[in-house]
Amino acid sequence: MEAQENKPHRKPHSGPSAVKKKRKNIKQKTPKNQNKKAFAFKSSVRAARSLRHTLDIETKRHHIPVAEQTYNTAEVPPYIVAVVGPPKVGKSTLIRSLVKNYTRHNLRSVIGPITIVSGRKRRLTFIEVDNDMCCMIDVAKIADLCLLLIDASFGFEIETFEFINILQVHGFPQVMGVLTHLDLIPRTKTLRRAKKDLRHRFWTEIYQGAKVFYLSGILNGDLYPSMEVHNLSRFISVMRFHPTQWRLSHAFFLADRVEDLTPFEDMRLEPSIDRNIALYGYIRGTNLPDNSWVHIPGCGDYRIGEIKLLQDPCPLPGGEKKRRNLNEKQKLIYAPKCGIGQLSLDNDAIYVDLPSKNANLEPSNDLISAILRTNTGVDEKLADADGVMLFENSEQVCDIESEEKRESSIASDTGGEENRENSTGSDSENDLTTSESDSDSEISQEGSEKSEENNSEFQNASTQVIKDGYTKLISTPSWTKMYNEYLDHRLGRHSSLQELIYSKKDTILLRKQPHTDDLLGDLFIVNDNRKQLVHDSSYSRMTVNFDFNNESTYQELKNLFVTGRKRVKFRENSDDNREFRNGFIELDDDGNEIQKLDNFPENEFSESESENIEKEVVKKQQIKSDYFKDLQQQTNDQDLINKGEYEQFDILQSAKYIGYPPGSYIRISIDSIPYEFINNTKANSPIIVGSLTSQELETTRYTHARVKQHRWHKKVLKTRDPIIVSLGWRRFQTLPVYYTEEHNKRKRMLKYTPEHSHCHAVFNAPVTHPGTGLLALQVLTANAKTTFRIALTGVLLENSQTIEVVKKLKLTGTPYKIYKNTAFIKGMFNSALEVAKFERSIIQTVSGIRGIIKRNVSKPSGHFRASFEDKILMSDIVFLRVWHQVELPLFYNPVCNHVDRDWNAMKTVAEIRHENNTPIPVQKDSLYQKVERITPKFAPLKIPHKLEKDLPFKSKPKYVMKSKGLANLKKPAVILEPNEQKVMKMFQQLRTAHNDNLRKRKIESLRKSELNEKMKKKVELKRLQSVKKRRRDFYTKVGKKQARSKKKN
Amino acid sequence: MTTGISLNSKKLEYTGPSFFRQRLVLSTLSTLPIIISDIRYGEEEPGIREYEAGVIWLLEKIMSGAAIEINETGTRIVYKPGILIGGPIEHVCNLDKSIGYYLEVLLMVAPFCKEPIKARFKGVTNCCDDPSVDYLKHTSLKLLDRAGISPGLDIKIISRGAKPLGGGEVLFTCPVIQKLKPLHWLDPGLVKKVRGIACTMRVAPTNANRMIDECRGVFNRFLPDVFIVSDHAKGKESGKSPGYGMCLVAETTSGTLLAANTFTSVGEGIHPDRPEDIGKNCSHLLLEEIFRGGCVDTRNQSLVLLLMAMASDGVSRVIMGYLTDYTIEFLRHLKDFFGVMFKVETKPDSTGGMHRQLVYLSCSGMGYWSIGRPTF
Repeated sequence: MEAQENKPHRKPHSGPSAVKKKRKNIKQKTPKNQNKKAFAFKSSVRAARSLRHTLDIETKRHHIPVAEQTYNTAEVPPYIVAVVGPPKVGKSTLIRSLVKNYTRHNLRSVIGPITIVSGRKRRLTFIEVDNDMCCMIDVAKIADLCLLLIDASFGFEIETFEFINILQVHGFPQVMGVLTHLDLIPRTKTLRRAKKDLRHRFWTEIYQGAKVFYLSGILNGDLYPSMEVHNLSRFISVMRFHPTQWRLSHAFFLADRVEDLTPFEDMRLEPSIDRNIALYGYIRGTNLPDNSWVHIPGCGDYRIGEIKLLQDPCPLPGGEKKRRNLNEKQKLIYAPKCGIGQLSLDNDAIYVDLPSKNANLEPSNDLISAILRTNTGVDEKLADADGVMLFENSEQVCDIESEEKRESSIASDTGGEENRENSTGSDSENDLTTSESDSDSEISQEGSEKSEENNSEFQNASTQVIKDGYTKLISTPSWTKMYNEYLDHRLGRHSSLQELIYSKKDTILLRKQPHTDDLLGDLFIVNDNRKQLVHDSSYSRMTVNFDFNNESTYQELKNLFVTGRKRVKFRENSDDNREFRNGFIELDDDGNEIQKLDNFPENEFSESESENIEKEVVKKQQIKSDYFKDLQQQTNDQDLINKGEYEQFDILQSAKYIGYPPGSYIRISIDSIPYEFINNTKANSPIIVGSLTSQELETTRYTHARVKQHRWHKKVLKTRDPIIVSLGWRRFQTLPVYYTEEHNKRKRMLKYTPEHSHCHAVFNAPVTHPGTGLLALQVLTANAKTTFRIALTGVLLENSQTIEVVKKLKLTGTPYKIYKNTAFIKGMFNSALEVAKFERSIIQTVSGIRGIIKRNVSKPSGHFRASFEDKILMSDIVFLRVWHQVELPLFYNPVCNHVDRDWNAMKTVAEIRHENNTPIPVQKDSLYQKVERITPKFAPLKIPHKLEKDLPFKSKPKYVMKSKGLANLKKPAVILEPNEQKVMKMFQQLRTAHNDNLRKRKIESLRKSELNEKMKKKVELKRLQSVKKRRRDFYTKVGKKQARSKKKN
Repeated sequence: MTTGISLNSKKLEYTGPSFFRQRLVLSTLSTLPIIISDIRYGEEEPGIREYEAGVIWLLEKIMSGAAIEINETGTRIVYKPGILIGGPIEHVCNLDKSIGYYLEVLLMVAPFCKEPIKARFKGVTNCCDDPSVDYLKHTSLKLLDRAGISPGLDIKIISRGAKPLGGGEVLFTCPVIQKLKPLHWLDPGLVKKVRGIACTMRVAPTNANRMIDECRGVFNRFLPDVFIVSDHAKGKESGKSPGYGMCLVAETTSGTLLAANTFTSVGEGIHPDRPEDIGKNCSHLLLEEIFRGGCVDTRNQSLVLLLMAMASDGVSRVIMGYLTDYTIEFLRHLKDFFGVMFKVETKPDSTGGMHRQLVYLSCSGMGYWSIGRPTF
């Protein structure tokens, strides 16, 4: 029996399964526990390549280590979550849902920043971003996370794209897309399609795989479904945020609330008085020092008057680290503008927010109402009358005895003061030892009253000592003692050198005030000719004189040399740059340890510690020196030093040196801000306070930037058309000049920005750090005409005071006298001076003959002599190509939208023309005209007879007789033979017959083709008729069918 | 004397002629305008001196866009700094002050320019009041070098010149820096060697030997490693006036440099010190400097403080000796102009039983960037 033959299995040779199998086979062939040495590289080239490859991968992972500069950090400040989107997309609903999710709190309205505790280590501040360009720009600069809300039923709107582009310029924070209104899309299939389309479009803008979240419709209590919001919140809670360079180098805060501190009376008298305000918020970015300059976008530059550290209104839960979730008490919310946290304590006030309808401001007491009704103050009343009527209809208060008593008591008080002054005056006399003068006594008067007695005692003592020191100067050798005494004296009243330096009381006196006693009559002031003590040398000798010949002095000094007393060990850390160890153990002559000469607290370390350090050193040397590791080590060490330096201080003390750390909740006061800021700021527009360095203040200089017109902006931009720039913290309007840098570094002006490539722009603006991104707009507010508002983006390159942007200028002239290669040219310049300026510069004719300007001609002025490489023609136009420096506009106009709600930007010329219906002015010169060229008539060439004789025959002109008679003579008449005549006649007849035949044939064919055409038309008509009929039949059939199916449904 | 800062006004106001150079330098670096008024007001010769005006012109040469107003009597100056450019400049110094007086200004400003500075100074190279050029070359430049401002940093003495006629010429070159690292100079160390230069111009070269002998007499008692060279300037290199003097530098085990300089001019109407006195005086000044201690010598205190304040990446720490009034005022000015406040602690030091006081200064650097520096 034959075995059944099955079809054999065919292995796949291609396709994914084949690849998979192959890979599997390879894996199996190379066992894991193979002898690695046996499989070493055979090729050195390949080995090198693979090594290089691995190293490349390794180094790609490296980032420049940055030392942490925020020391004594209180807590991480709340991350700012900006909710952005076009109107009616569900921004407020999302914030309310998130707040509800985090805190179980139902917000009625969303105004201002809302801070919540979202986890053990994380707080969030939500802000809703209006669809206003200024708001969007400001928020883009500070947000850590942006939730871009997109109405899925409508699709993307232009604002979303605008915002993404703003983000890209100002250091892209984290972005998450949120699709809303998904319930409005009816079918699941279209929903899925819409989701996919929107997601992919979003990805092309952000990056492939950016997170997009979907929120279906609003559910119970007009909030989003709690499960979906909860999921969103979990995404937010695991997100990591990377601060940008700008934020790392600038402190800033988002103002939670703004209070007006101006006295009510002042405001009543002058409503438009400049206000003193207080702003509250968490410091973010880096440390904020006292008295630093800040910029409030939309308002201006101010100096912080005072920073007060406040209690954190929304602190992170401390303690109990085991629990990961928050209990109800720890779920805090702080939203002062939303009416949550209605009671707030300040250092000088308690603010209680009461809804106006609940507040009962009518006085309940008669007495209080009476006080309220009085119009004049008590002091005014006192001045007017003998007695005082405190209230209306009350008795006059007039008690003379008591008044006298009061006066006497005042007198005694002042007497006391005088006494005190006298006493302090005497003190100051005591301490005058060096060249001091009378205003020192003023200083001592200012001296703190608390420790007055101590002070005077101290001073007396010190002067005594000093005097003794001077008298002993010749005899006593111990100058270290003297020196210390001198230093003590120098400190004077101050407890420490630090205080001496920074309290500013004891400054060196430089000027004497003219004495008022020295007045001679009223006319002259006697000038005491004592010169001002001028101090402008970096060196000053100590006032203590040393006797260098003394033996004990020598002995003391010798210890400062290496040849001094023996030392056992000079302990030093491996790297003296890093850690200061100056420990000596001093030995006396017997070799016994006598003293540890370590007075620096950090130097006091035990023997074991030192051993450890030595071990570390050895260890370190063992590790191969690696540039990156060294760098990392250095940064880490610097980090430790940074942290350790101010460790012993609390925040308030260390704030003097480094400012308030990020995360602390502060109140800053700012003086004299325009009153419109209080009245006109929109409730929902974020107020940002960003710190500036002294260089970044509002002194404008020329700013160069590399820019590119945005590809979505419809028009190219014109030089000197105003643009609104957002750069650093600032937003301002300015007039740019665009230019391109040529190969020889010449900056040539461009009238318009190139369409698809970068160019440079220079404009007048405050100084900002080079490398900062910028964007520009032509209009702030969108109207029906505007599409995409962002006109250009770029990066700042340089700040400078002057800049040479040039444009090409061609000066033309015409020759009026030509000798060989020399020509005299007119019409190019107006004066000899102008010619002098351009001597030796290169000129050219239109035909390309180059030349040089030699000298001006004395008369007529402006004409000059030039020489060319060849003789030019009188008809040639000569031109000089020069580069003319373009004047740069100095316009700078900050966008003050917080001060002026309807801030108007400067208009472009085109806009003004459009509004006024003025046509574009046309210069007649610039119009193109038809060029009529006259063909030149040249004179005949004449060759002199002498020359002609010598010419070779080839070049000699050939004279040909052209007269008619001669030509006829050359062609004689031909007379045919009779036979030939016959033949000719025969041919003539035949040709005529043939021509007639051809004519007849042509007529016949034409007739036939006409007939044919007629037939064709007939057939076509018939065909069309039948087609029409067929169609009609078909459509009636279909119509009937549809009608039937409709009926069925 | 100082009015200091008023809120919201973007300028600083000072009175009096003192600390003139500091104020100009800090104003230039911070770009904050200053007004200095009442300069020698009510004196027989009111107003700024010519050498002070020279400082302003020097600064103007390396800046673009500076606006300076000086009133008729010179008692009031309004100084609005521009952008530091640098580049090659030439400055003829006033003969009342030495080149060192101007170089001290330029040393503070030069690393923060847009282009490397190449400054040619003409005038007095050595004098007794201001630091001599040798002094700056052997201390200040070494300090800058230690702080990381190194390649291309040099002072080249082309010819020497003494008061009253000068005639010296000096070429100063300085690179520009991107970023300053924090300084940690905390170990003053012990003096291990003494070096020096004794210069003579238009006098007998034996004067140098006499000065050197005197110094050796003083320092050989302390340590054997004393090496002083004599520099006799001849012909063109010797300037227009005769004089002699010396500069001594003590180097410690940790690389700290402490220096002293003295000089005397010779000529009609001048009673010059004997070379022996000059040598002795200089040695004593150096001993005083060694006694004062610290990682920075007295004249360079403010320069180092500036570098500390300008550094980026955090805290710098330095130990110094006795702080001069000039330095103290500089600290105050740093606070006015940059808001940088130093932590100052006096630390009693008892190396070898001296019981002297050293000063520990630390600050968090502001990460200065000069506005003229471009990027690409």
